Amino acid sequence: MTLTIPALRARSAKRRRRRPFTVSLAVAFLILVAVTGLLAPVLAPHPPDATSLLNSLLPPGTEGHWLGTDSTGRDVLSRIMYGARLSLLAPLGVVLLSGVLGIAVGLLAARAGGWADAVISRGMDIVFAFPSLLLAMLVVAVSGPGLTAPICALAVSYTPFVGRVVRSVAIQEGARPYMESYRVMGFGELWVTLRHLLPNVMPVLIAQSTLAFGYALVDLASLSYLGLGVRPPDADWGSMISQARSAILQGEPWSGLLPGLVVLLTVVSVNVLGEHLGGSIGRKQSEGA
Amino acid sequence: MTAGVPTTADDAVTTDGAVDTPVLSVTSLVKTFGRFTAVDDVSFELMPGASLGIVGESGSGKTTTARILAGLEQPTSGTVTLDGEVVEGHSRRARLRHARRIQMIFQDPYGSFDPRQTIAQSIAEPLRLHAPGSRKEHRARVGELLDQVGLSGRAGESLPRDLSGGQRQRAAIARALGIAPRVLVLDEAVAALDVSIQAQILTLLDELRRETGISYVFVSHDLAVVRYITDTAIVMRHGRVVERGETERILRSPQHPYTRLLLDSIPSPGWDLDRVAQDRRALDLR
Repeated sequence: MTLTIPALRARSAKRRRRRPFTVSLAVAFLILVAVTGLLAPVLAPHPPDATSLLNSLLPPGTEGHWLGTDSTGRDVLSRIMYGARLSLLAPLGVVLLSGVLGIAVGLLAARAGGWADAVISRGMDIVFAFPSLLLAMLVVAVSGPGLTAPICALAVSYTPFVGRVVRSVAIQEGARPYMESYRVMGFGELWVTLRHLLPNVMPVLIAQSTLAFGYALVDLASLSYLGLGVRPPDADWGSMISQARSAILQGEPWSGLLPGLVVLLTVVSVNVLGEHLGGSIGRKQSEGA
Repeated sequence: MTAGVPTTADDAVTTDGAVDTPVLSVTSLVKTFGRFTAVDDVSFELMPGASLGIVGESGSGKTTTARILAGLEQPTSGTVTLDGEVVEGHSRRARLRHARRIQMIFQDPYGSFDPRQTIAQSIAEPLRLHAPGSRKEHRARVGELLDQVGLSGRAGESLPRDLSGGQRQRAAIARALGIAPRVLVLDEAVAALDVSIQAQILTLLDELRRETGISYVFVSHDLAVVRYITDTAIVMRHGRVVERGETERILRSPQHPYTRLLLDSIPSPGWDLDRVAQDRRALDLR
């Protein structure tokens, strides 16, 4: 039976594995945003902080300011481009930190088992139950505005999001017979965990981290909107929306709506990608079993 | 040796006719899981180059015995002596020494490989641990090992999922041989394979034993397989050894009713299922 079925499954899976159009679109958009942020000094038509009170609150489509200007006359397109840097880098920091923490905690729980697993798992449940934004605001309240503190706080609160998945996959993978065959060959627990367990956990970790990236982006934008994250004159998308509040009340919503739209599209793209990664891993694992 | 098995003369013949000390001897092995006794006072010896069968149905304790030998379970009491040394301790060094003397082949050859590694990588990894050498030496050794078990270099570059069951089991044997153990424990090693592939693997195992002088502990429920691959055998039931001796003798004239029952359970002309069931009931009442 082991001879035929995997072969058949692999063939039908290959047919299924064509990447859906939405995923390609999402990846293209994310690349566009990342490149725009990276090359902002070259691509942006104006400096992001050049004010011009004569040109304030121009609507989108105005010549020279294609996406209009905000209440102090700064070019919205240029600010979105520059804002992409912090808006993407900060969640990336959160994801990297929470990824490392999640791997450590998840693998430890899975491999130790018993009461250590119980303690770690309950600990993760508690952190998971605590709203990430609230934790970040608490930390900012203590440390003052700036990005480092909220990044660390969010990384901690996203650790269970990653760690729980790592733990469950590591337990599942650790029960496979090859783990025992390595033990019989005289390999130590640490070697087997890092060399064989971790690489097999990695795909799930990447999918989960992608989703975490989307959530972290929203959280950080929210913090900036509340004035707790990025400090002027630096711009990220959240602070742009925040600074557009008065303009929105004056009936000129563009300078706030446009960065909001970019946040929305970015997060949707990230989620589409994350769901796709998670789904294709599920397929691969059911093939291998 | 407690219960009088005529191991010495016959087994020793396979190694230059000299009478050796046993490479593996197991004394009064007991393993309990809670209140359940999986292995109950099991003793046997294995001469260098010999092949011992452990026969029994599922739940007879044969797999637990194999796992104790491989160091995957700790016996509740009793000793395992390998190469004249009692196996004890969990230190890194003790585990390495143990691994160099005894290796195990599992029933599921697919599951016993890391799905991400090619076969050649999987075979090379224990080599790096147990036989330090250059990358080039290891690659050459992997080639030799693949050749020894009848796998092509191309099979070596494949992932486990791209090989057939028989090829995977050959690869698992190559990986174990790379460590050059004195004893190879085979736990239902051909049970998951097609009959024709089974025959190939058994022939390969037989050749390897003659070439390398390695000893086998062959755990199986399949009496035909045990007859082919082993010289002596023990029959286990409910964790106890109920019969022991030369495999041919046991299968030709079984002494214990359980062994007879196992033989009668094989489908054959004039096979009477009712009588087998009746015998089993009678045995359970004893």
